Amino acid sequence: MAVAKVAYFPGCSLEGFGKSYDESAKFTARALGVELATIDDYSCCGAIEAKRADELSSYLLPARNLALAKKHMNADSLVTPCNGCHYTMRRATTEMKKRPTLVEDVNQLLGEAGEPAYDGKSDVRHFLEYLFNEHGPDAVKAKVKRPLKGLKVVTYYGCLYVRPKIYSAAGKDARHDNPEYPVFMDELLRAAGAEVVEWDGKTDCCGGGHALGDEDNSLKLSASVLEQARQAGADVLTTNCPLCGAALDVRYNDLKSRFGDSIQMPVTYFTQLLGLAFGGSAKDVGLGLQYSGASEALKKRGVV
Amino acid sequence: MAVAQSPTVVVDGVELTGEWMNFLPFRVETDPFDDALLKETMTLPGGESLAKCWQCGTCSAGCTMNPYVDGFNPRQFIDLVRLGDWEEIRAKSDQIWRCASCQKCTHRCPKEVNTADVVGAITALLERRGVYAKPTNAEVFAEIFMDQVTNHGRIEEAKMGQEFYLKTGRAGELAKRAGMGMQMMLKGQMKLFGGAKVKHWKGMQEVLKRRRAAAGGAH
Repeated sequence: MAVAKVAYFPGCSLEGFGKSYDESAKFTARALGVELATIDDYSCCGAIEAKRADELSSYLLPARNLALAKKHMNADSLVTPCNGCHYTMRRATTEMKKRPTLVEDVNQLLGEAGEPAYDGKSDVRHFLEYLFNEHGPDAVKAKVKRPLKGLKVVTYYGCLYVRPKIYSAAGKDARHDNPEYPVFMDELLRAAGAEVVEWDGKTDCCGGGHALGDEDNSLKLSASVLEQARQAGADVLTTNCPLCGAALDVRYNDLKSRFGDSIQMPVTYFTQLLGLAFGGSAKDVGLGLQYSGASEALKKRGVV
Repeated sequence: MAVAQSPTVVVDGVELTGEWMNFLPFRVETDPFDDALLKETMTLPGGESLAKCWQCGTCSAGCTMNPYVDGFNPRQFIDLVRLGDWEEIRAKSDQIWRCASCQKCTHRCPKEVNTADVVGAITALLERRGVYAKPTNAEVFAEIFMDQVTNHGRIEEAKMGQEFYLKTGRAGELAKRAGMGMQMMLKGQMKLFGGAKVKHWKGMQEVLKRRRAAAGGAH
């Protein structure tokens, strides 16, 4: 089977708190015949902090990565599984396309730093959007070895996968997810046999951006997401964002001690569920790295 | 109040003016207001689109923080800046910085105001005008973040957390989380030595340092 290569931009989080997302994304892609080839020597996208510090730096940081992907891998688009990186880089490319002088300014700085220039064209795709459009539910269905039968899942997309539409292009056409009620994750998981439960929290904010800056409100926002998922009757919540994963899962003990059983809800990445359906082991998809009892919940449903 | 009398205009013997041309005198109350507020906010990064707002309130209706932070109301923040009501903006300084950047407002704005960035620009204005006695937690966090990016090219979440608690005088919090840190290390989510570093970064480091210094302020 020919293996397609994708210029993969994991972002900082997937080397830290989002390690299980990284491992399971790679496993899932491999099962579909794709190698997620990490862009050599990639750097931080700048998140929402760079634009606070200096506007031009918030375009410079994404441009460096896009230029590296082009130079080393001849890639016209890089693929990232992180909602935060997705937003930051889409913002940068949209603004640079709108204002070509920005590309000149950025390339001036890249030149001074001894980095390759950005061509002003290459762009960013979210790994979920890539999976849905380039592979899709049928390809997933064909690879399922162990259907996620009987598993009730709520899909949690968070903020920056679809918002804001001026950058994400959400809702623009069929290749882009619905901005208010996204469904790409639902369809892929349904194809893997899961029962996707309807709920209202799909694009709520987990407060992860202010996990440290405004801890009190951030915890309340996370609790609200988990509570809604619980009320919807899900076995697990699954997400496509490592920052949501950090807020809901890594902080799980903090949340539990403050809000009690009302927020009891195992948190997973959608790539972990797909990976399991493709015949992966708990270890293959990093299930042991979750804090909120995902292993136990999935065992109970016979998925692991 | 006296009605202002218009000068009489007569053309070809016909008087065109009359009682209907007499208006109340034109008044602009500028006394408690700060004309520079709007202009200054619009020159800050993210503030450019502020003037397009037509006060429909879509932003505040769906705002994530509105139910959690009393008085958090992006539509009103914009209105106050446009009015030049500095006192009222200043009175809301502890609310304004709490925007969670969820982008619902920007996403839904019918006039393509980048509302989240405008709120960020108003926060920057408050910082610039020295309203906060000490940096807000969000500002401390952003600085730690940018320091890591500038110096190493990437960030490490766990180390950012450690530094944040130390910088905000909550070493106790860190001690409470020692067990959690140990788990993170065992799971490979945090590295004790080495950690995230970009190899080819010297040139970028210089550029970022220069840009941040030029942008001024604490960043």
